[in-house]
Amino acid sequence: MIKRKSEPYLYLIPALTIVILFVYYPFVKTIISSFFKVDIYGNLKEFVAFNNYLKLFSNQNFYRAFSQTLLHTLMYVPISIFIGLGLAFVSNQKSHFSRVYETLFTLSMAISVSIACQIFRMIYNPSYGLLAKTFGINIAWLTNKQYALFAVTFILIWIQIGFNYIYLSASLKNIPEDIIESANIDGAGFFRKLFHIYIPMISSSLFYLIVTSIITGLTMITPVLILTEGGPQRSTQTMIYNMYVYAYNNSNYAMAYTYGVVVFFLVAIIVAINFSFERKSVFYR
Amino acid sequence: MTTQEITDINTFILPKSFRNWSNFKEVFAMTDMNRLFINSMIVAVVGTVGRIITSTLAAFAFAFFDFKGKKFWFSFLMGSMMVPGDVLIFSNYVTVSRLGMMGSYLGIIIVYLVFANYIFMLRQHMMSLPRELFEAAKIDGCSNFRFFLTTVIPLSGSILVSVFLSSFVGLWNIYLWPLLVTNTNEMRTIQVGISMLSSAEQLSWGPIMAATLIALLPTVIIFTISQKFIVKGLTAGAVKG
Repeated sequence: MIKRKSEPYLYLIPALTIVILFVYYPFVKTIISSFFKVDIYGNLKEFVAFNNYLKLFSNQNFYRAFSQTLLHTLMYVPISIFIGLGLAFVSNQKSHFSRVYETLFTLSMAISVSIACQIFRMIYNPSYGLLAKTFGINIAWLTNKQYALFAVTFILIWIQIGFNYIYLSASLKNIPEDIIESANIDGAGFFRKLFHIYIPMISSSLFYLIVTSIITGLTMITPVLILTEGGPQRSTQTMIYNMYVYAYNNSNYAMAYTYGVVVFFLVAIIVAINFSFERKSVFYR
Repeated sequence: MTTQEITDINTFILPKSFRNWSNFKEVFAMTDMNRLFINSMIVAVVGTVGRIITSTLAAFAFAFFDFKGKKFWFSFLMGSMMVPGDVLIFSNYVTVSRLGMMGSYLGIIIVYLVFANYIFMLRQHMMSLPRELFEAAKIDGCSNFRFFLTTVIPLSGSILVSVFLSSFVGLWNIYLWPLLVTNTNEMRTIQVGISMLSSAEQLSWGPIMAATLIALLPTVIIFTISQKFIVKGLTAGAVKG
């Protein structure tokens, strides 16, 4: 190790400049702006304390977006992790095809949300979409307010599966063989092994996936923007989508900032709860 | 497939007629597909190179130097992962427009120039390089930066490939930010262009699906060929816990 005073800082300057300018500065600015009135050019006007928050919390629509975002996250996180884990177990059995499985299962990772939306727009079409043709169900998935949110969530689950699969299968492969062999000799059944060996051994990966997908789940917007625009009858509005509408359609920047802060703290609280569970139940090798 | 065939209830997956390339020709005639493709290419390649520059330099500082506040600056950079980017889009939008970067490649790329995960991965890798190399270079009178360029970078080849590929796929696929900062048709990326294509009034599925396929091709090809590298890039750091 060398000690020279200024040199290491020079190497850090590029990264620090970007992070300060585009992560920490906007973060602080968002929080500060949420306490002000903001004009349509984005300039801060007068200090209004918690008025923006009171306005937001007295808005019926906020609660609707809030509960829809939570519902989306509650479906998205467990289902995508459960399926990813299932696929990881399937391909963990070594066979000639496991390379093929791996490529097939992970390919959805290469596909962007916006392209997946185009593909699913066609699949969901009530008269000639793949779902309608194969199963003969003529449901207008995206324009029926009962199904639209599920349809949107499903697209994101489909994309996330590949990512979850690859993480979990990599960590399943890291489990030392002798542990599993000795469990087999002791005559442990599959579920016994699942809960006492596999899950504890991959718990750090599971935890990582849960935290990152909670964050993406709570900040979901792209498919809503592309496919439904919050509709039908607001049934697919999410919090970030509403923030976007406040900023870009209504030029109500103060509310957009306030929404941003609320979403950030919601994410932070839920992630913090997760971390408190981590101490008890995540096992690091 | 013709549009009539796609919308026909009786056609299943395989079409009766392949219209050869006519759907593709139509896409190229209707939109400036070349331009969209090139725009996305520029964003993905330049953005990735920029990310590699910022993260290798930062990782080098953390791995080979001892300096005041090292721990603090490291957690400072890592902490940027904890702030969800979508919450910040609006503030960043104002910043980028004040900097006069609206509708330019730089405006799209600049917010993506640091990805803390890559700094973490590269630092882990550089810490595993033998320290004797560094001492030997010192004795030979090699400057630190030269040591970085001639020894550290070449020795990080395989991890840089993983970083490059996974970052390329990631940047190729971004949607929301380029949608906000590009306001002319010439500057849109392919992801944005395609979703605009389908919200246009004349909705014909053939050309849209052809365009979708074109947009998918680079990432799917990269993924199929170099899946091992990408997976390494994505899972390094996290799997070890």
